[in-house]
Amino acid sequence: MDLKLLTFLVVGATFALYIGIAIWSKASSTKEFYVAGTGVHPIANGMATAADWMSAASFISMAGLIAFLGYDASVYLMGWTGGYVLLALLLAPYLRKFGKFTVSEFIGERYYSKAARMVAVLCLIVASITYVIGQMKGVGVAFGRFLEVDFHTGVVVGMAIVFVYAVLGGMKGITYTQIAQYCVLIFAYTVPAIFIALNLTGNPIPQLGLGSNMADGSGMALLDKLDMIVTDLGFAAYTAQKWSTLNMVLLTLSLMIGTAGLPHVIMRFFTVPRVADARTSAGWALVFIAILYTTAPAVGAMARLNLMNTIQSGPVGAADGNLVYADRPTWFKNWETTGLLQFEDKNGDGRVQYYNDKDEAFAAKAASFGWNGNEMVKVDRDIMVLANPEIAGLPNWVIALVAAGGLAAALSTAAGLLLAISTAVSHDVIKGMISPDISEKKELLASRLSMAGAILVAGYLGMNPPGFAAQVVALAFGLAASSIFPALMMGIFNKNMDDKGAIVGMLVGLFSTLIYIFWFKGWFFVPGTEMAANTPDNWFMGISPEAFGAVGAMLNFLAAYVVSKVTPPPPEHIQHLVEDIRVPMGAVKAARDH
Amino acid sequence: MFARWRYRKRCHAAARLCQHPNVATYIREYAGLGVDKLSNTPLIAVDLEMTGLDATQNHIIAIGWTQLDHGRINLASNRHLLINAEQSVGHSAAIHELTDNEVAEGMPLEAGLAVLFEAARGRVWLFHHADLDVAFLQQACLAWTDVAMPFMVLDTMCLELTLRKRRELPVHHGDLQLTRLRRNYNLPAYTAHNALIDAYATAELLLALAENMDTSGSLRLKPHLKYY
Amino acid sequence: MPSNYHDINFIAEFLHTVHPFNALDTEGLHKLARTLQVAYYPQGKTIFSSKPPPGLAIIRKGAVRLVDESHKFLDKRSEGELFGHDIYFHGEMKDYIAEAEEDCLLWLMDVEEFKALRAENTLIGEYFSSHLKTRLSAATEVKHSVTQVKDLLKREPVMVEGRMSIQDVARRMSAERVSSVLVMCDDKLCGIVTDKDLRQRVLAVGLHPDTAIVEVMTANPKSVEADADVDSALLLMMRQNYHHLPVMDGNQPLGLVTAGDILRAQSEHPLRIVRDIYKKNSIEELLSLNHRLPFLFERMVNLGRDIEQIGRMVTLVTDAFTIRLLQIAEQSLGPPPVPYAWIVFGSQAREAQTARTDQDNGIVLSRDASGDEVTYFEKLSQSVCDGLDRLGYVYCPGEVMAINVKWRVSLDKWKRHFDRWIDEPTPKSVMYSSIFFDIRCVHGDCELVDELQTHAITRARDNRIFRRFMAANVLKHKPPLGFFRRFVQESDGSHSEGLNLKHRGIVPITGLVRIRALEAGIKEANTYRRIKLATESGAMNENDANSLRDALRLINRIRLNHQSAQMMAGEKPSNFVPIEDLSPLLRRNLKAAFMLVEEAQDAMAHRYQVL
Repeated sequence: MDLKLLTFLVVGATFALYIGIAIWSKASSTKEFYVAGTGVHPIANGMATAADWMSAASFISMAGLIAFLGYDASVYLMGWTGGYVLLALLLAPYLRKFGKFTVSEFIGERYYSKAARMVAVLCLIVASITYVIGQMKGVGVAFGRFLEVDFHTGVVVGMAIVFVYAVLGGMKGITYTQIAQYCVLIFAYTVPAIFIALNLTGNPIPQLGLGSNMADGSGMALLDKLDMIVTDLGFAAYTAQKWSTLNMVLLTLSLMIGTAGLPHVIMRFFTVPRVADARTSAGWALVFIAILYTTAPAVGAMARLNLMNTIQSGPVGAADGNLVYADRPTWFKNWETTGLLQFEDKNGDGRVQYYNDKDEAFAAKAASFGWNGNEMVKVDRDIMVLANPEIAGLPNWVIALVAAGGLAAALSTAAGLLLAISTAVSHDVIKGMISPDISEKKELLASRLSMAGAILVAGYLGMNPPGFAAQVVALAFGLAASSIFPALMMGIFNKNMDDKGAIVGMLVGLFSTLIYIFWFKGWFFVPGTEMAANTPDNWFMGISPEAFGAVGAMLNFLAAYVVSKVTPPPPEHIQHLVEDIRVPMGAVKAARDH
Repeated sequence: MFARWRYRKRCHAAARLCQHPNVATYIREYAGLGVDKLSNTPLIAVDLEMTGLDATQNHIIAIGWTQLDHGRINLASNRHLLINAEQSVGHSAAIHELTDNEVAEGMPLEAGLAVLFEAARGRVWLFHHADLDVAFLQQACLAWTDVAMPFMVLDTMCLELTLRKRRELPVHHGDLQLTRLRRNYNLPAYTAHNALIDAYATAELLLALAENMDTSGSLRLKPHLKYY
Repeated sequence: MPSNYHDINFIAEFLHTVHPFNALDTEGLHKLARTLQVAYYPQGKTIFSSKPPPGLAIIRKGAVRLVDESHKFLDKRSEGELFGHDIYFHGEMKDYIAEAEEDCLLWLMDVEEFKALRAENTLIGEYFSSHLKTRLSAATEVKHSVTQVKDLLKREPVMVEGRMSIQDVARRMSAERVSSVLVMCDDKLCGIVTDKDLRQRVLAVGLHPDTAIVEVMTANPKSVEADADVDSALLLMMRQNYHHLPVMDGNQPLGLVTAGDILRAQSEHPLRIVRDIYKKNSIEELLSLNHRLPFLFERMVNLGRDIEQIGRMVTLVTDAFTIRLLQIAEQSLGPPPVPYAWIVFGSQAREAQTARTDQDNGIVLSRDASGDEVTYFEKLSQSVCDGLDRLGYVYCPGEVMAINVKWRVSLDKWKRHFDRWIDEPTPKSVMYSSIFFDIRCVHGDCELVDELQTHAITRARDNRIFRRFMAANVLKHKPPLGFFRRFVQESDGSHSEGLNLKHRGIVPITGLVRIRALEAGIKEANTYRRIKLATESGAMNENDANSLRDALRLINRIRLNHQSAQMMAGEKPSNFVPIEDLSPLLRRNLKAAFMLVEEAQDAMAHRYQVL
């Protein structure tokens, strides 16, 4: 069957499944009062959380980043996994005890100040929109490829679908839909990985395959082989550390602490009735997330290997060692349509040369082969996961499945974020500040409009993204880390922190990070407005914009501490409240009883 | 064919003889009255309640009417007059539910007729079973103005009869009663034997009949007129 | 020529059955009748296709199809219904063509007259207004024409100055032949004195007759406004056990009204039974009143009383039974060893009972009971709950009753119950919360209940996570509108199909309002008063509040009419109303009401991010 048709069928079928589940579970019960509904099992809730957690960045982009960054990209794995653990253990139980449903509400209440709440809303909106940009990039890549249109058209189609999906809202938040999304997503991710691992190493488990020997008879370990191939072409060794250790630590930290500030994940801890259930679900969620996260390095490495082998089919330097452009495989042509893969025959030999022409030693050597510079002028890393099954020559249905998985990942996360943004705008800003007596109808309208607005902004920026999907998401985490996380921490653990300190801290953190990012990525991510080239040489102490969130957070802590020292301490009852939060629930009750 | 011509002649004669100047004017107007379609002919539907069925012996005790313009009944024109008859209501009370006391509160017959004829100016009379009512009205006019008043009348009972002949439907005893007919035409049921309600009911029946006799929407009335 | 009454009466009689003209008085109906013309349209004929519509048409007989330009069906109207005006089809105003589906007799009003009518009569104007909510509001308003208190006043009130001596007041009372007078201080009502006061507070204690009257009067008496309806005045008196109630026009007393005045004015007032209940001395005697209840309910519904009052009156009867049973039990068991309060939940707490339902009650003790005290309350609750069951208030299937030891505990334990539900909103906790947050004290030490409510509601107000669980639960009950806003009928298991007005209409509304009340920290349990208080506190937008209230009124009225008819026919009252039993007009209004509920639910879902 034709791949395009098959893709439509599989994607359509999964959508029908989500909608079907939504309708089925919405069919309301009219049971008597005295019959209580049944709760969701922690395992099911864990799967749903995992679907919420894993966005297009995780699904589409992370393996691509790993494929090209190699060892350095492991910080994404560590940061995101660690962030989840940090949130589940350190923050969520306290926030939950406070009884507030959103982070902005917590901050408004804890810092007894509307202004603090508004600043928190601002920080959340900035971080969330940045996050959505990443999703838009991912959706655009997926739609561009499978509708066989260019990337920009793909983004527009994606915007429309995300809007409809989020406005209908019906499929979001229903645990069973998300479980279905998780199943589709994880199936789509692991099945091709298994096939490829089997092909390359003979080991069906990708995680093990990554450390196994090649099945091509060479007896070489897979990673050694990959290192060899890429260094032969002048690239840095796959397993080598290329960034400074400081940058890696900071990036990991930013990704970790940023998690706490992202509204759609923390909410998950409030939708289970008991804290104990929340912990169990978090444990399960971690298991389900780990399935994908541990597969990602294997997918990345194997994809890179396949790509290199396809282009550099023979020995480096041999006259017929490179792929003849006219004979390029279908996937190559298809990705060229999207504009995410571009070839330019610089030396006019009709063959494709893909090598690192920035490496002077190798460039000189390459010139002796008659190569005239790297001819793969654009290889977008976000295409790797989607292209991977095609490169490996897997059956069409596997390819269609991956498309469905990518969409599931992007949609579930984007819808959750957009919902949080629209509620923040309509409820916190408009009803909370501008017009408290607004009618419900207008409140709903405002939320729809803000949702549409957020999609437009994110869609526009998604067309000219400030990085690959995972990098954009990393920026979002950095922004959340620098602004929200310190305010939360101090709100819980420092009873002397007052409203002014928190406000100043959040603003300092947010703007220092934002400005650092804009400095290297262009003002408001508009291309061409950057103040300095985004290279390690220009970075402050070698800290990349993605990693600056941790520095912003430190500035935030510092500013807040200083301001709180020179301003009056918070009122008595707030201090008691803070002490109360930290005492476990049972203990409070016992104390009250005696 | 000559009925209309004869009616005109009788009108002119009556107008000449009539002592009552207003009534003479009405009669003259009637002589010149053009009758066309239902949609552009003004009508007045009238019903009387009497103490009996004999025009020479019994009396009118109530008059009810309503006017039709442009093929529509004008509810603002509804009138119900009680007439102070010299004769006792007697057994007929069982039918129309008017008692002597109520009747005694009514107006003199002549005053009532004056109001009726004023309302009927320039309008074709409409009755259900005109023979009886017209007989009583003519008798009353004779006593009032000393002339035998000519009447140009539309009779819903005759219209129904014409329709049935045209459709070759049989007519049984009692079929042509107002209530029965109205039921056939799916019109709402009213309390019978109140002069106004019967007059109004007759008017409604005319509207229904007219639509049944002429589906184009406006029945030509001239062929269905009766002259007394 | 003056026209007399008979001329138009038979027309007016029919108009009186036509909604919204039933709001008009006789004179108004006659005036309306005179503006009409009658036309007949045979089946299949086009009545009009003009734009704008040519006024208003009342269908006296027959049926009319309304179609759009492409002849697509929009709606059907039948006898007693209207068309010709601007009509909203599924909320959208469209031009339409009217065709006679059957032979039609129409009463027509031209545009100018129609305009004049709307301008003259606000109620009718509102009915035809373009606004969905205004129309719905008019639909619920039209029905109740309740007697106002001022209609019962017989004479000017006798007023005395506060500094007058008791003796002078007594003389004045004899001279005026009244049994009570109003005492004025600085031109303001400050007290009331009755024969009984003179007897008990003056003669019995031997007070000097020269003492100023202010010393013995009942100070700051409760009063009612002149335009209050008699039912609410009577409810106030019954509840507070007052016999006299000053009627005020602002600050100015207009007169005095007594319970006797009201009961006499309405010879068989439903609330007479409450007085009779308090005269009975045993459960057997109380049972003898039982047969009167169905009639009572039917009477209340058919009297066209304000829909908000019916629930309160029915509940007042239940309360009276409960209190009397408690008094009887206390008489036989002796005074309570520990101060306690008897509390009721659910519909009884909300004062929204209709046909007799099951009992939901409990006991709040001021401290933990021990030994014999436990036995005392066990016996007390056993005898009251059994009594209620025999009276037809059957045992609660969820065992939310005072005989269940779980719901017969000290104030502290009650507080802990609430704490747990709020901290751990499991499905069961949420279910309990939706019952127990509607709470009202009917007997005993009500301050205990007040303290409990303050505690629970403050905690619920501050905990948004808990309220979100409540919201999610409320949103499970959706109005019975499916795709394309068609009604969804369902079966209750006994093969009867219909709209479940309780679970899909009243439960969603009371649930929504309960959450809004928790947001605003309101203790009141009655849904209508919750809406009012929430609006006053700014938690609810006034328009939203009015929509919900009107929707609730309409749904309640339809349900009550249905139940009353069932009870009169000897059937068991049910909450399922078959759509066929509703006139097309009522169906449309009901649909509008459900749409408002849907809107409010959407907003709630969005606010709490439950989708």
